[in-house]
Amino acid sequence: MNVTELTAQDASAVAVATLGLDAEAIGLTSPEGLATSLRRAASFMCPTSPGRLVDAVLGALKPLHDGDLQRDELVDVLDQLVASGDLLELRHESGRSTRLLYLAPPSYIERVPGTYLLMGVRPFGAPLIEDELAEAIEYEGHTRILTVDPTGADGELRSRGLQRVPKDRWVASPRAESPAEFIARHRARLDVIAEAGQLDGLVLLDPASKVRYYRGRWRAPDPADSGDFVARRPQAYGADLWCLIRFQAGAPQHLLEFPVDDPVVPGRDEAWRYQAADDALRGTPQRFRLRRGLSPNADVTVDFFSPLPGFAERYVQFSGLPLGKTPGVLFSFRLHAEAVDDVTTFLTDMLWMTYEEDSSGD
Amino acid sequence: MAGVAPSSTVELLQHFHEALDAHFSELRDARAGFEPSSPVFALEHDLGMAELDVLKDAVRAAISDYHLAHYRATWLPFVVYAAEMGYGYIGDEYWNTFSSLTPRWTSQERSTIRDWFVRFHTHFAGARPTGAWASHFTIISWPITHAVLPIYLQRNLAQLLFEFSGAFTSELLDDPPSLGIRLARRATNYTERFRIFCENTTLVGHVAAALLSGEKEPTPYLTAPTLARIVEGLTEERQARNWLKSARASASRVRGFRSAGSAIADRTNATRLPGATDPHLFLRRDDTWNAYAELPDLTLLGAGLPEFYSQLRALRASVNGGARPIPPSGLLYPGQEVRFARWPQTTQPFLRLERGDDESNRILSDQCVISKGPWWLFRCQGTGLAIEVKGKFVRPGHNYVLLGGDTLSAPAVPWCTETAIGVEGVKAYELMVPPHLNESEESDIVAAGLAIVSHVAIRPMGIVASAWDGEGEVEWLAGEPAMLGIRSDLVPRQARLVVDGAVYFLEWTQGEPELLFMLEGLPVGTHEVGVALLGDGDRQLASGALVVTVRDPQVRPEGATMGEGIRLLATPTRPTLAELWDERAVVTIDGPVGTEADLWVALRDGQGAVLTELHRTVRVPLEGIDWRTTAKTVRADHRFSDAYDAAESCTLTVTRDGIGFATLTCERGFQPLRWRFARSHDGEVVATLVDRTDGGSTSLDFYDVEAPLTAVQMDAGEPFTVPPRGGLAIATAGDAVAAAILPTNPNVLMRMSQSRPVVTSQSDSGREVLRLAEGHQRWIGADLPADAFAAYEQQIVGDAIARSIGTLIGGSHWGAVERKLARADDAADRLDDMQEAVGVSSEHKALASTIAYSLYKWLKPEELLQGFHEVITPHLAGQGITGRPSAPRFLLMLAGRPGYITGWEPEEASHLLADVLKSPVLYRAARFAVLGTRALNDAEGVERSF
Repeated sequence: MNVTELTAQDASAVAVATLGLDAEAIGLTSPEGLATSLRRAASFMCPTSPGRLVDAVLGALKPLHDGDLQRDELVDVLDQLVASGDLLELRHESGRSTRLLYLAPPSYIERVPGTYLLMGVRPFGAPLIEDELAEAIEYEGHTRILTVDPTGADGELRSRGLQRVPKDRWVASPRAESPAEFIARHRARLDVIAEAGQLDGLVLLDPASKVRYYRGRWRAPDPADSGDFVARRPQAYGADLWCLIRFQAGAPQHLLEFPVDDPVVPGRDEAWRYQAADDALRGTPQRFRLRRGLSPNADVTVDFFSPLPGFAERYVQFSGLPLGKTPGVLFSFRLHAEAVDDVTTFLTDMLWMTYEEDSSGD
Repeated sequence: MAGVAPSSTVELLQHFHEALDAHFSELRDARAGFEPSSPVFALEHDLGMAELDVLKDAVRAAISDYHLAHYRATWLPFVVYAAEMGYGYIGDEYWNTFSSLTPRWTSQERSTIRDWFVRFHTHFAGARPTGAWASHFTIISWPITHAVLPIYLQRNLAQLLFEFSGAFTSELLDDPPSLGIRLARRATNYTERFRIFCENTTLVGHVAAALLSGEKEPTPYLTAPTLARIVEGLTEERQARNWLKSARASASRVRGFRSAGSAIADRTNATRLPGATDPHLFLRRDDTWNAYAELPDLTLLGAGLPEFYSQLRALRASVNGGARPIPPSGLLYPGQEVRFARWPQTTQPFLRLERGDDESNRILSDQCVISKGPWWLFRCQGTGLAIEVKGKFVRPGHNYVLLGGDTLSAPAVPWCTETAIGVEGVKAYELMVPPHLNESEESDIVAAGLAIVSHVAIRPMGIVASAWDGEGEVEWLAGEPAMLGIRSDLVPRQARLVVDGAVYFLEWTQGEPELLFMLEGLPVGTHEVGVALLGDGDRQLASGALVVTVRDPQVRPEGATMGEGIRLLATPTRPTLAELWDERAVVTIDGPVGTEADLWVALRDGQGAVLTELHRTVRVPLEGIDWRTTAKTVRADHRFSDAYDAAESCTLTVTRDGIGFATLTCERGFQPLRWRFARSHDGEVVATLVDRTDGGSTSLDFYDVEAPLTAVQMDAGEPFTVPPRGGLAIATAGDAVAAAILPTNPNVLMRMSQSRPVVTSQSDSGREVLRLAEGHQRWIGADLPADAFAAYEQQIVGDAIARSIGTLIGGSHWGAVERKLARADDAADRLDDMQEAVGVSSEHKALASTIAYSLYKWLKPEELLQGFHEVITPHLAGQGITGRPSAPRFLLMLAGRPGYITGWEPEEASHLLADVLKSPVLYRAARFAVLGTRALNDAEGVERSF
């Protein structure tokens, strides 16, 4: 056995290499490094709560990067892993219902022949692809993209236990409907639901707040609150429970728990879509910004100010690359110019969003 | 020019024999000094392909001319020939392959082949087959062992080496026997045939070590041409080539890197360290705190211990204090959680197999242990979860939950407050340890048997460890660097590190709060890491300890892990094809509640080709009862029944895109004897016994449906036409038995008048009852074909035998009721008759009445058992039957499924039977309870009833 003393830098490099990444190109606290650490932690710990998973990674990384790693960064990356289908948030029955994270199966989606998005996590720390083909994986933010010769690619991937998932099944869009229909459907459900009991630790999404600052929209209930609000309740063990609550003078009257339509999506996906519909009905639809390059064919950066439900994030991810954070923006994607119209149409149809152009260049 | 006559067969054999003798002698001598020893294999003949063809032709010619005894002086070519057959055969029937390629071969000469292999072992230090399979197949185990790695197993070995590559160490690669043992333990999820191969751990180790030796590197374990031949075979398939290449690269990286040796072997300290097979205890706050144990997957523990493994597979286990028993096979899946209803008693084993033997329970008692009391400490992890700190030390500034016996006094510190816990036998206390403790608080904590660790923290860093309790115990996978940080608020000059007794001094960089280091090459096992922080003058400032467990990389079970979106579990685990479809195994599918998933059922032939594939949509979770319904629809599908008898394996696959994917592979199993059925166009069935046993001693008994207890002896070597009603065929060769209910000919059956099976009994003795019960067991224990009519005939016979026992024990009056029941369209019409026939005394009538009014409450077997237990116990006592708590179950079994009493402990069965014969009212009451509940039940309920 060997004992080797390490500097924080050495330790980071060893950790990155042990995670199967290129220590020369990827940092341990980069989005790629964090996503890989979270996937590894999940492979041992699932089913588990998002909080425990984030704590585990934070515990391992803090000794090396005490100053430059925030818990929120990990939470954001974890949300992206759930949205893109590496991890699943599912209901877990153990006397009482909680929502926990599970490993999604090793799968792939063909973007274009020869380029494949990889998803899923194998248990017990096993890499998704272990042999030399792993060298062809590019890590971009939380995504993994494999570029191989399209001839026989299906066979190569299947023989390694990855299942092909058609784009439509992966995106799993809900049906298109108008914001009014969407809201009315939920109101009707809320009308007939039993009364809400005592609810502790509740925070709600203030529909009157600015749609361009998502984190600032959350607040505690107020005695003046009346109407239907998207809210969430932290759980002792499990993911936050997302719900729609009808308030009367600040007191919760009825509670509808998300997900309502699809039991295998995280509750927040439906909650966020509800909020998008509500914002649209109020005349303040959620927005995104297109930043075009200098030439017409240059890639376009799309900035988002509100989180996207998983299906929409997957739709954008299918055509684009996730980018690092920029000030004032929740997250961004880079799209090929020819994909912009399709993505824009999708977001305006499904989430009733509007967009603005910023031609100052990327 | 002088002509040269071609060599005769005898001359050729002589030539080859001499050449091989010289070659194998040289090989033996070269390996004589190896430590550990390295056997010689007959496949290592090193003949070129052309030469080998000449040898094969010579052997074939020789065999077609004379008996083998004629060639006893030139036996080596025959050994090489037999080993070559072993190398090339496709896993099904060695002798069939042998005889098909060897004209005029007769099975009587098989033992001569074995004798010559034994001679090879003696003369050339040749390999000797080992393992349970070798004991069973005393002849073919020789040529197959000497084939080193038959072609059809090569892919499996490549995959195993790849999956295990993270655990390679230089020492392991240089120690083939140990490597073989470790690989065998990892092979539990592979096909049965590969597992059988792995039972010969020495062979596996040698082959693996040779394959991992690297390209163009000589290996002492196999000759270069033999190794090249196997590698060439492996690389013909892309995936196998990739696996081997990757495994070799891993082996190459670790070779030459020496570790400190086995942690377990080196430890002289008698203290037991926590191990990978211990349960993990934790608390979860629901409404109050509840205590749970996460049970380990004991598959690896069962590897190499077939008896122990089969008990883990078949028996229910109980957890000391657990709120529920663990179902059979539950200890062979990872991640099972059990809630404690009562805190475990430390004087009792933590896990016990119900009706397990002493040795198996001793293994469990040694290997699966919770920490000693009297206090158990749990560190809070965020809110709602607390994980046990086995070292029982608290750290200032952290929160804990402390559990201890009801009578213990809690530490007298102001920050210890009692809290509610849903576990009997313990009280719980929340410890909110302040950042600074005064002397009095420290002494109170220490007096309670806990320790305080301050100023030093040892923790994993860099990568998330595979397990970490947050304080004191960490686990990594073999091959991963153990990266650790020591954090301290003091100003140490250096740290003294003690790892398994070896001491290291690490310099502490001034001004840094944390010292980072890594341990590389820690062998698999549990290690103690002790740390002392030293200040100026080597004064010890603080100390701490960490238990590090390094475990072999785990392999995902094909049914998926608890952490995946869809899981498929089978009970018993890894059922055979027959167990799965004869309803002796139950499948459950777990997943997101209320979602639909695709279930695919594929039947495959011996080469893995799909014979038929069926699709069903299932809603998860799929419970055992739902599985039975689904399985019925599958069995009833003609595509399935048409392919079933030819199938060698079956795969169940449950999948939903993006959510989960789980499979279950069931094999026919490497059965020495097996039935195959062929159906002609008019529905007539011909049964053929596939005999893979080495000897020629196989016997065959046939039982007709109409005379189900009368054996008719038949020729086991000849296929026979099955009567239209089917029947029961039992082939026996030594310990090997193949019992099958034979398929019917529905075309003829529909036109036949249905005569009832004739079951006669000769006396009312216990021995006669047992004879009938054995007959019942023969029928209900036989494998069913995929033929609903055959299942019906089996049931008819079972009922007839049970009725005969009813008449025999129950007496003439009861016998008349049995006869009425046999003719009844609806047994419910005879409930009054049954009630009336239970007994004539007022006491008996009261008993019958109680049962009659309870029947509707006893429709589930567990309800029947519990209810009948309560009702019959006073009557048992009245008949002098006391101290036999299993008597009610025995009575119900005897009444409903008499064959099952043949599996009862013989002495107890004999006693109970004698008691029942003396007091037949007990039997009549049980029979009334069983038949009455069946009469009121639906078809599903009847199937599950006693």
